[in-house]
Amino acid sequence: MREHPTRYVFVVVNTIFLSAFALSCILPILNLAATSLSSAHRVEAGHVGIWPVDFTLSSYQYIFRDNEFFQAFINSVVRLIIGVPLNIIMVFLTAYPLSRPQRYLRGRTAISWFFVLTMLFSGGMIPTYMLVNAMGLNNTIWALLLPGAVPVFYIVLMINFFKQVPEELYEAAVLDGASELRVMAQIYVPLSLPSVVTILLFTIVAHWNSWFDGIIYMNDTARYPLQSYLQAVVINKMDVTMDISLSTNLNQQTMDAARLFLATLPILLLYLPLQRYFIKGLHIGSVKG
Amino acid sequence: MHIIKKNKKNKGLVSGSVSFRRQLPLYLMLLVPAVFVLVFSYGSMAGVVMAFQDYIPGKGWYVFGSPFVGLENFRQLFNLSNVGSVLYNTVFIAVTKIICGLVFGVLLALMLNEMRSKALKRGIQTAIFFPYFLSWVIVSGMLVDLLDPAKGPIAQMLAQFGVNAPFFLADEKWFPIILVLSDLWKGLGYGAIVYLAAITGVDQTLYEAATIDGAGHVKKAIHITLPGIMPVIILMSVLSLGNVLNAGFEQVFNLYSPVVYSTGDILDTFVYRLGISEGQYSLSAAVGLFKSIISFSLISIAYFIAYRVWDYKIF
Amino acid sequence: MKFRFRFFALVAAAAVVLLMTAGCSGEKGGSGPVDVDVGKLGPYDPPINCVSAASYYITSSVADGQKKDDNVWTQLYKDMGINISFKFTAPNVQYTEKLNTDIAIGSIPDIVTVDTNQLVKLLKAGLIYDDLTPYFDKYATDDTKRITGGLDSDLFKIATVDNKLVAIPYTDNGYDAADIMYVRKDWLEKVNLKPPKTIDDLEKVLDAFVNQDPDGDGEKNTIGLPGYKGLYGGGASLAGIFHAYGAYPHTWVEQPDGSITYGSFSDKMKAPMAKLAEWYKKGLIMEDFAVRDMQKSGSAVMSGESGVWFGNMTNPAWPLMATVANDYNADWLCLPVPTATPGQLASAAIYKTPNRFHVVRKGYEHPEALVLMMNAFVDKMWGSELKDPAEHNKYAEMSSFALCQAWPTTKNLDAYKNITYAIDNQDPSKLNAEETLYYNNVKAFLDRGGKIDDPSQQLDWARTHIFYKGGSQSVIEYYVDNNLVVDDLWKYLDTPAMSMKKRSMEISAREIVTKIIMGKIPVEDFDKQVQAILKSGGQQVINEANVIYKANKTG
Repeated sequence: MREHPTRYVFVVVNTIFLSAFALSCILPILNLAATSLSSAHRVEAGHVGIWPVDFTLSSYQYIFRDNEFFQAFINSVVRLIIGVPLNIIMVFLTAYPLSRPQRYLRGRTAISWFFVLTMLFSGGMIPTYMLVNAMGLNNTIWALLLPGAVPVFYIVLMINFFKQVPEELYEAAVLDGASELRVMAQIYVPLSLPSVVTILLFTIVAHWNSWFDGIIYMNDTARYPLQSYLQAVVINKMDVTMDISLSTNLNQQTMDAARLFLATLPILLLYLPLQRYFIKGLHIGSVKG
Repeated sequence: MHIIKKNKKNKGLVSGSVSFRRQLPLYLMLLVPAVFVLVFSYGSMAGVVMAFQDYIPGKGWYVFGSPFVGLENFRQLFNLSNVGSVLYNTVFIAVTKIICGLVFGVLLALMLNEMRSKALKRGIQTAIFFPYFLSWVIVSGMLVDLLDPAKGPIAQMLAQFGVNAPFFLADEKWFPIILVLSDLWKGLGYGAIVYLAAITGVDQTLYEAATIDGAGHVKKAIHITLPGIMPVIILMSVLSLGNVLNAGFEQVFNLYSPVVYSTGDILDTFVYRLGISEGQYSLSAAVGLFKSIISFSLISIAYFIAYRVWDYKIF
Repeated sequence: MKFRFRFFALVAAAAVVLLMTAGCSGEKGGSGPVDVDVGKLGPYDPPINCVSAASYYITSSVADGQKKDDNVWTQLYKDMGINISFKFTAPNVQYTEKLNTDIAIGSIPDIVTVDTNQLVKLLKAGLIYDDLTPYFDKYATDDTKRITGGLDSDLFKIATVDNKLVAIPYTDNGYDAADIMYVRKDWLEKVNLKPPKTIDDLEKVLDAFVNQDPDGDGEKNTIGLPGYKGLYGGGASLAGIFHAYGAYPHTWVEQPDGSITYGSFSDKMKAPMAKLAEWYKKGLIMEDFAVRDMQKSGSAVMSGESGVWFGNMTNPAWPLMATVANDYNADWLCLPVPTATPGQLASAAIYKTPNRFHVVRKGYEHPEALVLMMNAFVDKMWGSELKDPAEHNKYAEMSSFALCQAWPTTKNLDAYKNITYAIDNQDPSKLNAEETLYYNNVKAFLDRGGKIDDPSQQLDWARTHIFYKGGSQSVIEYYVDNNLVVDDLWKYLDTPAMSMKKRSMEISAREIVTKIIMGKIPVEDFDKQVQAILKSGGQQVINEANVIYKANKTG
């Protein structure tokens, strides 16, 4: 098929532009990795681009001796192990009933608003802190898990997905004597797999990435999740380590780069295999009520 | 009472509600999440009372504790000299982010849609979506080094062209721009994928018909694709209206410093400093309440309009 | 519609009830003081429990085998019959915020260290003991009274409200806050310049350090004067430049008419700001000082980028000693801040006012435990019986986990004098444990011929440059002997306006100075900018400060 020359130019420009944008998304992360693997004085001199210069593992060696970093890493993993299933169960338990037509659930609209309202209004930091403290959750992992246990935004996403499941499937299953829970688990969830995977990844990332609650609720840095620790160490520069000056191979910047990169790695490893679900998972096009 | 009954009856007749016994399992499912939301979200919402009190720590803010002062906190609040600029910054930064995100997100989705190489397209999607998953702590940590005016890669690149790098994070003019750009960098991929997902849902027969009519790619994009994804665009706009006062706490908090307060300080960071750093609890609660009310009104209006004009519902 | 309304009314009611119960349940336990028979250093029998809080640096402070909740200090308290548990331990910056949140919900530790702002808030809320006088009187050891100055000292007066001691001040060394100018000696020799005495000298030195490749690597990779976003004090300070012109930012100073004002608003700020702006434009100041924190500026010195550094007397140990560890030929001079008017010496500001206090939660059974722990701190650090430097060091190393600290007010100056005497007369017998510790470092350094040949000896270099002739304390001695000391005149608790507006006033003042230095606003606009701050509450702060200042001055 012959193409119009302007079309050809467009395709080329389009490709170049998109590739450039894609590169701009990757390069900073490569730069981070390169910085963490380069010697400090080359970094200070500004010689490091996206490839390590004077390759060294000093920064990592230093961090691997740092118990606080690993404690924080483990705290984050524990948070994921409990928090993600909790979120997902809550999403299913809420989204399924609310996706059913009004005649199966009287007051559906009111109940939906009951949930959605919490996205818009919040009592603020101090009252929430009071509440968590009064319940004795302060300084426990539950302070990070329970206040956000019901992720309303994902529930809305899920409701719209569940709504697309053909009603006939429901009717047939119920005629077979299946309970509502069973219908949800065996019909609705599998049919909404892309969305479920998307929400799964989002909740994982949300737990992995949140730092503010850790700083507010945890009374000891040993209980900080990784991102709270990073916020304290990398952004707030709270660790003044004098002996790092002993080596010309590492400095604050290379160590911070190593810490940041190590914190990015799990997300990267999870993201790459799961990302193919997103196009379908984020399909909220059929939201018409 | 009478009206309610009648209503119920009407609804019952029209939609044919199933028996309560059949509804019961659904209610039970909702019970646990509802309790969570009631306790944590609504429980803390009651804390807005603090905004109307001279809150004294330890006495509690409930009715018998700290004295009520009516709107005194709000009056004090609007007398603070920097409130005006904080409010302006918040709206300016948030609205710029929303508009840019919307326009460039749609544009990016349309461009991606025109890609012919499937492999390259997937590669690009993968790359541009990834920053969305990084925390602002990590992005800020990277940005500070990337934007270093002396040795940062950006500064070196500019130096190649003989341009002296401005001092991005300490320059009042640049700071909001950096906020918007880094937010786009992080979030544009997400927006694009959402719109791209919508594009895949557009009826393919329309394109075929248009091709037969001799329409070019641009024409098709304007006359078929755009209208096709309009529901999503409207939905995203409506949802984002609730964010007009959310200029991005996590981002600003990790990037700003006192030099850029005049253009970079936003409501959320202001509330944080008032409440947690300075211990002015009541004043901080007043700002928080003010913010919630505005956001709530905005999104309600937008939702109402969307519902009336286009008949859209969130659920 | 009505159905929905009822539904939400119900929800709202439930929420209010829930929070009311939450608000009630603060930590208010305890019956108030109980009579005990206990010595000034314990032990309690049976042991008592005490909840406290500690601030520290994340990775550096916890030595091998020591934990935040189990270390030499908690062990010591345990031996005294005090079982310490921590309500929270937080990195130093977050400590204040953590404590603020706990104050907000009215649940504070039994014994805790607070700042002025928090003390005022706690007093207002009635959450702490408002009279510790009898406990200090009865339990403080002679060592503690000697080191803190005792009830009649100026420092204790700050914490005295209505003749009652509401908190015990965290005494500290006032002179040690003075700015000192450090200059790379080897670089000066390389560019053939004399140690700077005036601002003009300093300008020449900075210019040479930036442009004449003082590190001799053939690359233009050196910078001029480091600064940081806090501007004054600690390290990477710019305060010394202001002092050269007789300006004392972030210090309460007296004006000719006898009133006091916040030094950052004084007219004298203009000349040094204009000078700094000129230097900034010429590239003689660290370009991105406004976003750097002290640590990040320090790393510029550590890596050998900068040869001029202003900061307090501890700076040889951080960050200067790293340059020496990296390059054995490097050396630093410790000098008084320069002057802008030749022939007239510049005064260095000091801040004698302690801004931290130890308080006891109202209702706690053992308020005297605060004094006992302070006794223990003094005893282990500088007790009159203590002679073994290793014993001192064991506790000093972990001092950020010690509770109820009190530091001697001229300890380091005395140490310098005593160590110098001991070295010169070869008689270390009169030194106390801490001084002996430093003496050993100085002696090792001098015995090695005044240089180091291994990074492990860097502390010898640093302590010599603090506690021996030519060191930072010798500069302090020079300030004191020549009466070059400016005292911060605000020695009182925060007034109501202060506790509301002082912080934002200070931040705004810094913001203006930073912008003028960076050339973003002309120095001519200074008055206008200051007026704006005064209008939005600054004036109120100053007025209230003057009421109290004048009342105390005449009374």
